[in-house]
Amino acid sequence: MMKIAIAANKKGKVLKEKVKAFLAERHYEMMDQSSSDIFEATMNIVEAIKNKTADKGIVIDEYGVAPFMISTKNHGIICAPVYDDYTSKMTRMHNATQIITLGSAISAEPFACQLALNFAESEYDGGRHQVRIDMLNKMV
Amino acid sequence: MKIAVGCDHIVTDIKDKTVKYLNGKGHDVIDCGTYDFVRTHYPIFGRKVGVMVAKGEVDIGICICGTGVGINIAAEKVKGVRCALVRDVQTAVYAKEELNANVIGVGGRVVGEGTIEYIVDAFIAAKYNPTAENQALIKKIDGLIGENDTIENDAIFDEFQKKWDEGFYND
Repeated sequence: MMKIAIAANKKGKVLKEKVKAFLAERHYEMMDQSSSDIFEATMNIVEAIKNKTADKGIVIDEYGVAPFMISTKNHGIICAPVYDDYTSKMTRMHNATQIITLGSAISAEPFACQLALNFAESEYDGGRHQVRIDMLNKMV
Repeated sequence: MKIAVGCDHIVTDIKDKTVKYLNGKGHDVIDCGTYDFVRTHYPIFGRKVGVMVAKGEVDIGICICGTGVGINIAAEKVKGVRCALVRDVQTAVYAKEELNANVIGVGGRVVGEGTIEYIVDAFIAAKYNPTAENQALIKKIDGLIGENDTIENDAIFDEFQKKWDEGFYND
């Protein structure tokens, strides 16, 4: 069973509960590592990916911007802010994304749940895309 | 305003239109490439924009690729860069006001020209609104990357480009 670590701060809490329940109903094992502090919430998910206790991660706050910045500064972490159908499917396939961010101010519940599911169901294509991932991982 | 703009080969035409738009508004634009549609690698151009921002050679950066994800990750992996990948004006303004973002990104296959123009205009016009809380968060974000040679080392990607040229990365 795929394990998905999820975390939110106060502004993402309501949406996080909906996304968590939606994915759990679809047989994903959900690990909630929320914190009132977005830095701590995001670093919890980064650690879960780094130490492989989770296969994928989702962080939710108001706009998804801060958790993108925090995640991406870490070595080996590929994080994508997701707010549209295309990115929700493509980013795992092309960028080997481990973590997505969602924003409660910009994506309403049914749509955000679908975005999260699209990410959960997608897998990395590898091949030519790996050269770019190797480059990113050299930067930090 | 002095602005560095970068893209990958998927959206060169959209980047060119954005550069033209900004020039038309009187901004001083540095086009970091890519300049054609030949397959290349988004980290090269995201890093170029990020480095110019980190060194203070420009006021802000703009990064565009297909979804915007890859090139904006590259910019964000430069120490001192705070990058926001957005599809709407509200998020762009939030990123500047709350996080003092210095790079704004869009997906050229996600948002249209009109939205891109609105987003860059709003991002340029927005002002950082410092609070004790957001200053502490920004300090923590900036502190995540220690000292490295990513800004100075222009040959940082050469080993991977060489492997690419030798056909190591196959679909």
